[in-house]
Amino acid sequence: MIFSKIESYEDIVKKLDKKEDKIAIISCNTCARTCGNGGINKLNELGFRLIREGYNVTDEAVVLYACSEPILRESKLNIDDANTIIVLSCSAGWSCFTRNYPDKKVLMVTEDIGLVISDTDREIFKVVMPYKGHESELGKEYRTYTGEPLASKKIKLRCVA
Amino acid sequence: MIISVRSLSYDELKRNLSRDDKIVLWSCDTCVKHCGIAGMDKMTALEDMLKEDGYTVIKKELISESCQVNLAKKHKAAQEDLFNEATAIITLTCELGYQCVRNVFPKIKVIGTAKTFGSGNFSNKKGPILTSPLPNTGLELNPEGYSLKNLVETFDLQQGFFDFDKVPNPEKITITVDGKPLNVKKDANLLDELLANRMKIPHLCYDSSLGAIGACRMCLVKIEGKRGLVPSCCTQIEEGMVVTTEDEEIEKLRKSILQMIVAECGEEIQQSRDIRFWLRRYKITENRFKLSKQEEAVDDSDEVLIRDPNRCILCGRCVSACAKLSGQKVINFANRGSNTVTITGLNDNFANTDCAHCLACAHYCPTNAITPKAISKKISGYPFWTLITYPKKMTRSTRAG
Repeated sequence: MIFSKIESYEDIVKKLDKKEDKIAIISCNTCARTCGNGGINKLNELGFRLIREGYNVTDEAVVLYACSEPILRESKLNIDDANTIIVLSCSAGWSCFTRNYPDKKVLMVTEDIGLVISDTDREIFKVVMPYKGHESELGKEYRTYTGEPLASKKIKLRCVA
Repeated sequence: MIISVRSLSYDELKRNLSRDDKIVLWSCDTCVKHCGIAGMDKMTALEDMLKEDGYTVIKKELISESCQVNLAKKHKAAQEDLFNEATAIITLTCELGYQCVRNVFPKIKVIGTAKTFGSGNFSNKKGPILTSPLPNTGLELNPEGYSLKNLVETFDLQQGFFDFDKVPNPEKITITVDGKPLNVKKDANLLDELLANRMKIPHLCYDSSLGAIGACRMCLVKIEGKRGLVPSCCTQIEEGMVVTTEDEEIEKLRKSILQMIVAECGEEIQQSRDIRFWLRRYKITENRFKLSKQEEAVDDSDEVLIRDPNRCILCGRCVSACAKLSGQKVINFANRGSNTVTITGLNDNFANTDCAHCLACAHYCPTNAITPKAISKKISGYPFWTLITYPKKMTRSTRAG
């Protein structure tokens, strides 16, 4: 599973043009949802806030995997009205949309932290293989569905950089 | 998806094993399968190779998502005695899956076979590609992606799965199918061999990854010397077998089963690809059964999965996948006979169960009774109440008052 963290709302809106941008928000329902950055809840949260502040949000969608072209094709997304796509997923999902919608501005609003193993029964996940710049995250644990950091370590695993 | 490439050659793998080892093959059924180095068929090939070279393989274990440590624990708990006997586990998983297995089996020798490069996409044109490499690769983020072939060449790793040329030729025997001789693997599953020989045998409950269930009865065939019709998915091939896969009686029976499925599940079931194919093949346009069926509520309580009981044909694939692949046993059968239904948890909504969202049930369901949730909506303004903002200092009680 891939753990990514979403940027702050203020950082996201800095990348948007209130007048020109017609925005589609796409949310990944697998890793990103488990890490608290995707799924229907995060989509609604961002969508409501952008609309309330006067941004032109035209489409919202939840896809099973943002990183799979066959799934993207099956989803039959109709986002022709939009010229900007916000992808709530890891950078692999962003890459997939960048390739498949070359005529639209695809915004990366998350940052990859690392590859993680999870324990869905105890609702925790642990960073096992961190990405560049996040080496200090190695071995850290977080709460699933929220991404809230945990103080104590529950998954006993010797992590080696 | 996570991108991994095989890091060991077959000879290197053997160097890590001793002749006395009792080996368990452990494979993931998700990302690494799409990278072409895991899955049930790959485990079977590796098992054949190892057995040919005199090693003892005691178990093949397929897991729906190997990076979930709780699922690995449940696989262990389900077969504690067998894993106590094992002395080596070969993991056909990414490095995360390897770590999970090491965590769950600290006293057993665990041999990883793959190197993980980071995350990537499954592309329609190129297959699996690496787009977001880990720092130790020295590669940069690239939306166009690095192909697996590039990675193999750059990092001097192993292309594809273990040397398929070393897979031993299985012992073949000749059986007679519909009056013609057919060369098949000795002791193999009859349905597997018929399908491998491009014969169209209808089947709804069988998948080689899940094993035989024998519920749908669509694959019934006649075997000389055996009484009545037998399900080919539950039959092992024997020397000199004489099999009939198509005749008037078998066709009539298969038509009846299909008509009963449609009558029980309603017209909507015909949208399912497998059912539609066989309805066309047997030219069924009318239904002689008119069973009354109460419409059941669709369960969309879960964030990821939707379960439509009206589309369920009780094939048991989801029950089998949930028990065998994930080890969760969230989906089960309830009641008996004509009252049999599939239920989640203790007949609760999906959302109230401890489903791990490994998606094995949705992947193996032949009629889309369980599907991943996909939402797509056009926005034409939110209801007025979403535009109301409260002053920050206002408390809940003040608002209510």
